[in-house]
Amino acid sequence: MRRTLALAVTALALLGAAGCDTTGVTRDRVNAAVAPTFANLYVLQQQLRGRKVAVASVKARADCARGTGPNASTRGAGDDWTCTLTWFNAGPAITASANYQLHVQANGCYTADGDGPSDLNGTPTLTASDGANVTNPLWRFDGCFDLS
Amino acid sequence: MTALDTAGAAVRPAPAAAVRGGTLVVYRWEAAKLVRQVRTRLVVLACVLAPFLFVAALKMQTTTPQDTLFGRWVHDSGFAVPLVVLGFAGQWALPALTSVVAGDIFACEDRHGTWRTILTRSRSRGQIFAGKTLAALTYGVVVTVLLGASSLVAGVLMVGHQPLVGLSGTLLAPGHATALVLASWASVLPPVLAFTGLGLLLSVAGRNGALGIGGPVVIGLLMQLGSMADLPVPVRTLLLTTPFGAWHGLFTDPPFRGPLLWGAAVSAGYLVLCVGGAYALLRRRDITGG
Repeated sequence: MRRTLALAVTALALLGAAGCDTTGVTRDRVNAAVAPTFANLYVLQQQLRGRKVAVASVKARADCARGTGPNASTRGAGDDWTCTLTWFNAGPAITASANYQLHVQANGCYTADGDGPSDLNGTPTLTASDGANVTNPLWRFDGCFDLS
Repeated sequence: MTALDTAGAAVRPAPAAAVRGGTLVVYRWEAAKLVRQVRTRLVVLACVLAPFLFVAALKMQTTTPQDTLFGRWVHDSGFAVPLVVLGFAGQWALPALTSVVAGDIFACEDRHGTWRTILTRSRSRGQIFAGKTLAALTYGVVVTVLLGASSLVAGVLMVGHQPLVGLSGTLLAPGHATALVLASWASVLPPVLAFTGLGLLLSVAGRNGALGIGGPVVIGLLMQLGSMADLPVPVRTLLLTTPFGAWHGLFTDPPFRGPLLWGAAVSAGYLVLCVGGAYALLRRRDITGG
C-alpha cells in the first residue's frame, strides 16, 4: 500500500513536471524578496563601516530576470537569475546600483552572489570602522520566499 | 491458532483500564529494550556529540559551509550552527536516525522468530502493536530533541550568542533567535514522526530490518531528488521531505507560516496512513508458521 502511494506520488510529480508550468518561483516574488533583504543588509554593512543609514531611506528596488537573449524568462528555479538593485545612497537625489547573480532553488530559497561594484559586494570580508575584519553581509546572501 | 484464540479470549473481557495498562507494559518493555541496545546508545551518543565535533571542525578552518542556509554565518553567530545542522539533518539524517529503531522494531521479532512467543502471552496484537509503535515514536522525538538541543548548546557555547542575520537581512536578537531555533527544530517533529511511521510500515510489511531501516532513507532521498526539480506547488506540498524546510518562513520579515501548517497536516496524513496500514497488515498476518 505504501509503495502504491509512493508510486502514485512519483507519477503525479513526473506528470506535473512534464505537463504544466506551475512553478512557485516567479519574478515578482524574487523581486519582492531580494529588495528588502538587500536594503536591510546594506544598512548593516554601512553600520559596520561606521555610517548610519535608516532602512526607510534606502528604498531599494530589485529588477530580476532569468537567463539572457532568446532563453530569457521570468519564472522557474535556476542558477541563471540576475538582479539589478537600485537604491538611494545619500539623500533622495543620488541613486546607486549593484548587480547580483542569483541561484533560486525550487524550494523558494535563493543565494545572491555579488557581481559589482566591488567595494560593495566584491569581497567576502570587510574592515569594520573599529579595524576588525568582519563578514561582508553583501558579498553573498541567502533568503527565502513563500511559494504558495 | 488455538493458542492465539485463547490469548485473545482472555484479553477481550478485560476492562478498558487493563487494556491501556497492557499497552503501557509493552511500551515500557520496548523502551527498556531500546535503552539497553548498543545501536540506540550509539545513535544517542552521536546525536549529542556530533554538533560539538562539527563546530570544532568549523573552528579549525576559515571556510564556511556556503551551500547551506546560514552557513555563511557560522563564525559570526552561534545560532547559525543549529540551523545549519537542521539543514543537513532534514535531508537524510533524521529519517535515517528514526528508522534505525522504527524499521526494526517489528522485523526483529521475525528475525528471532519470537512472534509466537509474545503473542501467546497475555498481551493482544493490538497492545503489542500500540506499545511498539509508541516506543518507536518516542525514540524519534528523543533523537530529534537531543540533536537540536545539542547543536544549539554547541553553537552558543563554542561560537557565542551574537545576534543572527535572518533570511530577510534583519538582525535577530539572541532571545528571539533562540525561540526561532527551538521552533524550527520543533517543526521537524511531524515529518520525523511520519518517517517513523513509514519505517514501522516497512518493518511490518517487509519482515526485514534492512528494508525497514533502508526503505525510509531511500524514499526520503527520492523525494528529496524530486523536490529539487521545479515541481508544481501542490505536488511539492505532498512530498514528505518538504516539511523539513517549512521553518525557513520563520526567519523572514514578515514571517510566513503556511508551509508549517501544511507540513504538519501532510505529515499527520502520512503517519495515519502508514501506522494504519502497518496495523492492518499485522492484524491479518498468520503468525502460526514461525
